[in-house]
Amino acid sequence: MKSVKIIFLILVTAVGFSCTKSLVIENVNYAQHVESVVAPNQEGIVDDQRNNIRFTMLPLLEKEYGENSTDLPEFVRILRNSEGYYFITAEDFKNVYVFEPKRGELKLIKSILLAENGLEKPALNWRAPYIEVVSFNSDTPAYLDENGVIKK
Amino acid sequence: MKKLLYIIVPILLILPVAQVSAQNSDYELVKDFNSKTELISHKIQNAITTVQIQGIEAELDSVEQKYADHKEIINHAIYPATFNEEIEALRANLITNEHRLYLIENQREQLFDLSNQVMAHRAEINRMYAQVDSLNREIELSQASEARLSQLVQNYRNKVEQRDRLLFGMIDSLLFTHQKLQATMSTEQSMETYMISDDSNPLAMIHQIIEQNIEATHANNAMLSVNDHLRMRSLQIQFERTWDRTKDDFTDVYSNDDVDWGAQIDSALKQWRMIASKKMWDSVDQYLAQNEIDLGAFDNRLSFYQAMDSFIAEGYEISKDEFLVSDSFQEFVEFEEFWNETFKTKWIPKTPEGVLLSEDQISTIDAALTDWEETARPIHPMLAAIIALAIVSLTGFILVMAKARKAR
Repeated sequence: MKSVKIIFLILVTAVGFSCTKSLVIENVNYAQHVESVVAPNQEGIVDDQRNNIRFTMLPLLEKEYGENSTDLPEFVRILRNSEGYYFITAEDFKNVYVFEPKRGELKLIKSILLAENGLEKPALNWRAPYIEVVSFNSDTPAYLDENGVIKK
Repeated sequence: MKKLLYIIVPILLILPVAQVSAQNSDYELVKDFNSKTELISHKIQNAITTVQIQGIEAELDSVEQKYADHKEIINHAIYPATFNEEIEALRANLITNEHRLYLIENQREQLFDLSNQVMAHRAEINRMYAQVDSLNREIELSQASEARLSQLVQNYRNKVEQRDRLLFGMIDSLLFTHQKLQATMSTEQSMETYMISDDSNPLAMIHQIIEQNIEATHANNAMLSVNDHLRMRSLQIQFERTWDRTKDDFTDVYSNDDVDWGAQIDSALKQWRMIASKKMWDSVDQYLAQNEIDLGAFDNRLSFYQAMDSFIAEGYEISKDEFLVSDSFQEFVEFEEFWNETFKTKWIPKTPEGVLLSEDQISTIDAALTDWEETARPIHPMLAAIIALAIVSLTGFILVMAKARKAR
């Protein structure tokens, strides 16, 4: 009798688990085809209304220029790849930053160094499956993914 | 100098490369596309000639060609609009505006033609007025020779007739231009309004011509005949009818914020109509008086008809009371001659229908005249003699028969 109860309990638990398993839609393409070029406000808030994302630039400035930096770029360039990672850079930035969106936050997963002296007139293009970075620093564009430079 | 060249040339060589690099930005490409299409749209709206539209069309072709390869990127960037939709919308706008400008240019040409025609007419009409005035003065002064006076009167009448022909010509021009304007306005496109100075504004000229005619009709020499007055009244009627037909279009086209030309012309036309009508009826009255036909007073179509109707009715009543003699028959003959040989043959064909009498009124007078004739016509003398002879013969026969009976 005891073993029957145990079997019944196991079955109920198994059914319960199978019912609560979350639905997953795969092969989602998050790619944004044209970069967003957004001017941050005086508080360093970047508000991309077209793509519905709003965040502060200040931690990124600290990362790029060091502590207490308040030099806001005129425009911030944002592009999202098909995996959903955000690639962010700006004029005079040395790096392109790769962020992974989390619940209520952007988590930096990679800083890709592209120009020691800062990027001059950078632009991000979506060239599936990579992000293309063009700038006045180089005649040839760089191709990136969330792991770094793929081709230069 | 050479050093400077060594510095400048590489810079010039590098610069395009750098620009090419900047232009490789999809964002910049979309931005350029948007600004170019916006500029083209602006140019289309502001184009004032079809030549400009043709230039813009070439520009649009070039933009379409340049960005066709980036259609996909542009489609993503301008979603929910698309590259093709944007280009097609501009092209449709371009065609609509080209059509509109074509109409405007066409209208401008026609209006320019009309202004020229009116100005030419005005110059000619002014010249004729001067000649008529001069002849009028000469007639007033010339008392020396009857032959000379007669010649002057003839010249005067000829000149007035020529002037009226010119006015008819001008009315035709107005009508013709109006028809052409109507043809171009048959689309949904509304008529463009042009601000034209009073000097070349046809409405101002029309007003001036009417004013001149009022003055001329007022000052008409007494030597003018009924025919001259009928012609002038016909001219006035034709002018008024043409104006009624063309008024709305012409005032739309030649509107002027300062002057309400439509109302001014209406008022002047009314004055001209009253004067021309009065002069015409006065001349008819004068003609009848000269020909000893006393119809009594009349000054419009109805009173003229009533006067003639009463005249015939009275003549009829008189004729009814006459037997062997018919004095009223002479009166009938004179009136009948006026009616058939002058009124119906010479006057009616010269005037628009219904100005002197309506067709019904003419028919009624014709019928009344027939009745009058039957009553007024005296018995033929031969018939009277035969009747008298018959009466005498009958009397003689009765007497003979009576005597014969007595003898028996």
